[in-house]
Amino acid sequence: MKHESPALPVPLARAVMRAMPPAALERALAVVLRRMKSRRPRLFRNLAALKPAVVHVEPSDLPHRFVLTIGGGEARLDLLDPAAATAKPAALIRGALGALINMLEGRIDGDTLFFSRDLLISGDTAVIVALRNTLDREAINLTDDALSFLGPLAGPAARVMEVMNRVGARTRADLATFHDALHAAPTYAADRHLADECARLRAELEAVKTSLAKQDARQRRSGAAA
Amino acid sequence: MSAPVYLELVSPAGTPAALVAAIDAGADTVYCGFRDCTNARNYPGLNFDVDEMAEGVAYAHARGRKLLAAINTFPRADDMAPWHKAVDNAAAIGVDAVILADIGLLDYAHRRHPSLRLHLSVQAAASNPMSIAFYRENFGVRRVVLPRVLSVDEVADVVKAIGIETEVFAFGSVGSMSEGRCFLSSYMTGLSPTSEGVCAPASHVTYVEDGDKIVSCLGGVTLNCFAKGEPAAYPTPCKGRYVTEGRASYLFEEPIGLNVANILPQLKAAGVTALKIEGRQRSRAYVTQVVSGFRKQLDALARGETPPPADDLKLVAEGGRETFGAYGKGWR
Repeated sequence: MKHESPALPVPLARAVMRAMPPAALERALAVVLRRMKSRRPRLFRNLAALKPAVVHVEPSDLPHRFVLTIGGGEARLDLLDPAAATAKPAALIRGALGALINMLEGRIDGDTLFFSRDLLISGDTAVIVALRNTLDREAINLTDDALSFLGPLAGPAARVMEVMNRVGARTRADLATFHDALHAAPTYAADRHLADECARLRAELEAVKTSLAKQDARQRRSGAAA
Repeated sequence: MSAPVYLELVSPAGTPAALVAAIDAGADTVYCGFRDCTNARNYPGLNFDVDEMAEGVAYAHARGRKLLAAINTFPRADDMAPWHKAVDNAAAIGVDAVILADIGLLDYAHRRHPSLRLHLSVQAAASNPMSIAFYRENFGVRRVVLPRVLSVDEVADVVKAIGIETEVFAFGSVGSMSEGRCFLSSYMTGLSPTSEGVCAPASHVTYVEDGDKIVSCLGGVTLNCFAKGEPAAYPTPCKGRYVTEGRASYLFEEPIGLNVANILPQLKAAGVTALKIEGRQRSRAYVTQVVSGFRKQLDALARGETPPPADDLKLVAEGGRETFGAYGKGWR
């Protein structure tokens, strides 16, 4: 049976990254990237072989921005220092951290995020497309990379993550039910009367539309015959 | 025991990871292209080199599935070599068929590799029995991918008349243009979509934020402008919004996805052999979701059961909306 690592608990990752001071986050990022590089050398080779470009990554729910440098023999991710003078990036990717992580791990389709406007891109589209396709060639799992630090503790940590994800999913479902209940169809007698009236008017409107369409068709046919 | 085949499910794969995802999700067949201008999805970072395609063949065959190589662009007048090489490489690594569109390349493949199975690409735009019979009789084509312009009844008429397998589009774009003969984008990019393999080359696409709006351009021509919360569309000329009589509207094709999940019995009754999912440029997440969705439908139908609702696929459809496209057209 194939081993399925749990998804990275996004709320936890977001909370940790929000709380971390930039210097600590920069160091943690460097460690994770070193780990990823040793576990996925092909991915880094492919990224380094792309056309040289700098891409800014902006998780919309984090106070941090990242600078991804690819091509020309290197592949690096650094924290953007807002105080430093930086060159204009070739492209920019913006989306919620969860959307970016899910896309990176192949759990959600980038075009789907684009259609729904949950992912915004600007700048050199060729750079973005090449980056997206290069990342999608690999089965990336950030949980695996993060847990690999823990050695024998990786198993228990993975189980804790599974529980966190389950609890998170259940909480989201409960909130959705609560939200639906708040916006449910009217139940008071007056609202029910209004809803019935709306339904009756809608039906009448549909009947009028159908009748008009039939008249139009008849006119077109008689016009064509003439 | 696996369910008997109801309709062959043909999945796209733009990368080796997507190929594995497609097979693991239950595709009967996967189609992919080489990493050059010989296939119609020639995007940066996408597609397979010869070794990767050979590994894909091995992965598919080890699981009793098939792999098809799409070599479905049209050779340039001054350089046929990439197309000949692609056909030779595909034959050498043992793909189950090549999907070709160009009449000269079909002739080359038929003469050079007589045992290589040939499928006629949708890019050939063969949509009537006479045209398809020409390809069958002259090049031994064994399957035709029908253009997305026929109703289910018309598909049935074609199937009855041609005596070879038919593959129809099941999920993806509506594709109302005359495929393989559309040059709209070349006026904006200077590149030929049928020889370069992309109708909206990423190098010519830009997105610009204008307040809450996003403006998409191709080759400097504004194609569309999406208000906040409005679903976005691919940046192709056929999905652009144009101003006529003072009003901006979709003149050619709206951003809406084709999905035949609810008319599978009708397509089966029409005699269709295989269902094609479009999207080699999409991710492995898309491949997994769409293939799994159709697998469940087809297996339920094969067992004589009512298939589960296929509503979840709407999320991955362009524009977040779905249609039967020409299959349900009533104007003929």
